Amino acid sequence: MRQPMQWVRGSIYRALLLAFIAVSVVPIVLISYLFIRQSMDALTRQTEENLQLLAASKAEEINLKLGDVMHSTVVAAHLAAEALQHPPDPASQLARYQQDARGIWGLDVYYHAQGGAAALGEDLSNVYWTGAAGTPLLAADDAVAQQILQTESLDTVFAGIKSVSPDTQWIYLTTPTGMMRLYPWASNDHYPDQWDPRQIVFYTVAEPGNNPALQPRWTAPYVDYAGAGWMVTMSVPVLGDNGDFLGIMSHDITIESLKQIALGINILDGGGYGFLIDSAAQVIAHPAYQEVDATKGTEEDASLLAVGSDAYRRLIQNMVHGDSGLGYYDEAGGGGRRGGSSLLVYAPIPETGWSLGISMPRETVIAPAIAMRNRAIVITVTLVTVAVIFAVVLSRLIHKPVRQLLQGVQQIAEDRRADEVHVGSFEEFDQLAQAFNEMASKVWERERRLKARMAEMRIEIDSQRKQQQIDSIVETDFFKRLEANARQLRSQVKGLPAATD
Amino acid sequence: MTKIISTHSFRGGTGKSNVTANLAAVLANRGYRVGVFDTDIQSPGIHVIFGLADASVRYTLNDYLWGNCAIEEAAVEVYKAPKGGVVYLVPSSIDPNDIARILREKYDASDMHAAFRDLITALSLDYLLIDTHPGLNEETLLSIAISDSLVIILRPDQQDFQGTSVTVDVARRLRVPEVNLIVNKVPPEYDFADVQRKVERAYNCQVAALLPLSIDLAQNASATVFTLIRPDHPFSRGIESVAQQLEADVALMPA
Ligand SMILES: Nc1ncnc2c1ncn2[C@@H]1O[C@H](COP(=O)(O)OP(=O)(O)O)[C@@H](O)[C@H]1O
Ligand SMILES: [Mg+2]
Repeated sequence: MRQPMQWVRGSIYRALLLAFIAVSVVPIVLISYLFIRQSMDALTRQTEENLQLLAASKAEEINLKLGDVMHSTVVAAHLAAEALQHPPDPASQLARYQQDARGIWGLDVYYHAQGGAAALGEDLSNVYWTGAAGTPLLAADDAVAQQILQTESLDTVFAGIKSVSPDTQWIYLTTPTGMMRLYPWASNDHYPDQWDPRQIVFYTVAEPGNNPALQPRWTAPYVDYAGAGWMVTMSVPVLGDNGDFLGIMSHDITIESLKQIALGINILDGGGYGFLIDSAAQVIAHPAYQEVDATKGTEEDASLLAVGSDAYRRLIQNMVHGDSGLGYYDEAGGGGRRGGSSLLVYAPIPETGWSLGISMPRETVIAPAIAMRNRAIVITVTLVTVAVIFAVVLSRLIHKPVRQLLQGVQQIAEDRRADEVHVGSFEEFDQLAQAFNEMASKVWERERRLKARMAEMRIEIDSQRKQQQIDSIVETDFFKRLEANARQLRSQVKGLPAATD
Repeated sequence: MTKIISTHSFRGGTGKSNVTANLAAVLANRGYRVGVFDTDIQSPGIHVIFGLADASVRYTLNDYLWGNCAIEEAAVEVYKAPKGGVVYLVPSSIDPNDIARILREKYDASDMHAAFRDLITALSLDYLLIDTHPGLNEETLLSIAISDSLVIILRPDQQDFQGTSVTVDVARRLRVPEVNLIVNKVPPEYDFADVQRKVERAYNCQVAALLPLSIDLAQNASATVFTLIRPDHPFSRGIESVAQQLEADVALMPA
């Protein structure tokens, strides 16, 4: 196995290629990597912040609507206090109020006068009070009779409030005597036997025993007895000028329009959804809990604290606390309408202690970041490709002259004429090539001359002269003697016995 | 049986002395006892190659011929091979007076033959190498005549080609058993195989080696036995191959 370093050092081409790639591709990839990481974080944070802003603004919208309801109720409470501290209008007729078969006092005569033949109890009433059965008429000095007459003026006040508040379902005053004045008028037949409004949450929530600060109070959402759907009630204590407790002014609103604010949050083609919970984590509005509407009264089962993963429940807990914030959770454990990791952003509705949440699939949150990353990757790949091509071209450019020179040298080594080396690039290589060409042609020329001379190397022996020279030697007596004795002499020199030719 | 080898060339400066000295050293390295005679009395030179200082020479070949000493007294051990081989050199005097005297007085050829014989016996030589004077004077012919093997050194030029043809013919007449040619100073650009072919065809004689003209050798300037310092050099390998061929030829000789 060859070592990697040897492999690189083995060829100038490979070494250059590696060097060029190292100085171009490595920084590109590194910078791209850092850029992508940074931007992905930034883009994701941006999306998260946008979602938080959205949640906050929707929560604010709901909060404002609830605030309006509170204010109109507070105004109504003031007017009620006014009425209860003044004598009734002399024109008011106690006789209009009568008792039905179940002993419930209500407006009846008034209606007979209007409509004629309707039986008692079938008609609409502005007052409800369960008194002792069989009493034909209230005494004029009876406290309840007083209150009924004193508050007659509120009928027009209530009508005025309802006419400008589309969500208003009922608006009504309950006195500590159990008398209730309500708008719009309703049939007293709907109330169960011995029904006492003072036992009901719209009263208890704000009565001094439960509300020492005597503040306006919201009830939890509930289902309307009269079939008007999901409701919530604002209850305001009615106080006399000297601070006496005179009753509770209550204002029921349907929360359908508030639900629609949450459910209407439909960002990025249904990728995310909004929901609304009350201060006990009960679902008010949630796309996955639409059936709660259908089966009124099952809201007990709709606590979001009872579903989902731990992370989800922790976030719901934060919502219940009235915090605003965000967090990721896994929907695998339930609590959402789709699997996978999601982002939950939430903002409180201080008026009621509710909380508005927006859930968004993680992929949707990071989609802009992913899109940006993909673009960055495409750009990086393009840059790397260009850099590699550049590296290859440059390495070839530098390597080519070396190869050409090598080829020329090999040609010379093989006794062939070296091809002229032409280098288009780099002046140093150009000079080298010129020097090489000059040298190659000189070498070739010298070779050629030498070969020519070698071909000329002929051994020419002048035989006549040679014969003369030989004769001048061999024809002497000396040589003849020597020729005759040569063998013998040789033996003698070596100390061998004399031999003759 | 001692093998007597004469190295000869038609002209001077062919590399005779260098080839002889290197051949002697290579044979010694192969374990042989080798004697070298510098019979180029007129222009001695081989002692320089063996690094023989004037002071260490007591007697020369001249002294022997004049009867001043025994031949073994004139022989100097110039190289001792690791394997036990040894080279003895009998130098010629380089004193100009001595050279003049020997040229004037001549000497008896049989004295020279006696010198060869005595040294062979005295030193139990395996090889006797005779570095001759160029050309074909009587002394040289005497050396050639008693040789078992004649090595003729030529350079690839016309004068050497002409002269070598005469020497080869003369050696054949004297029935020298082996005649080898060494082409020395061959320019490296030459096609050696082609040169060898042409030379062998021209003389009908074996070429023992082609030795390249070498700048290394020229720079060595006969100062040392080149083979011993550059055994891998093409020149040294050529000498080695000559030694191998001479060694092999011994076996062909009659006892
Ligand atoms: N193959 C060779 N290449 C280069 N120079 C050589 C070669 N052979 C011999 N010489 C040089 O040639 C010169 C003559 O050599 P030498 O051995 O003295 O010749 P000779 O004894 O034949 O006169 C010396 O300077 C020697 O170094
Ligand atoms: Mg010489």
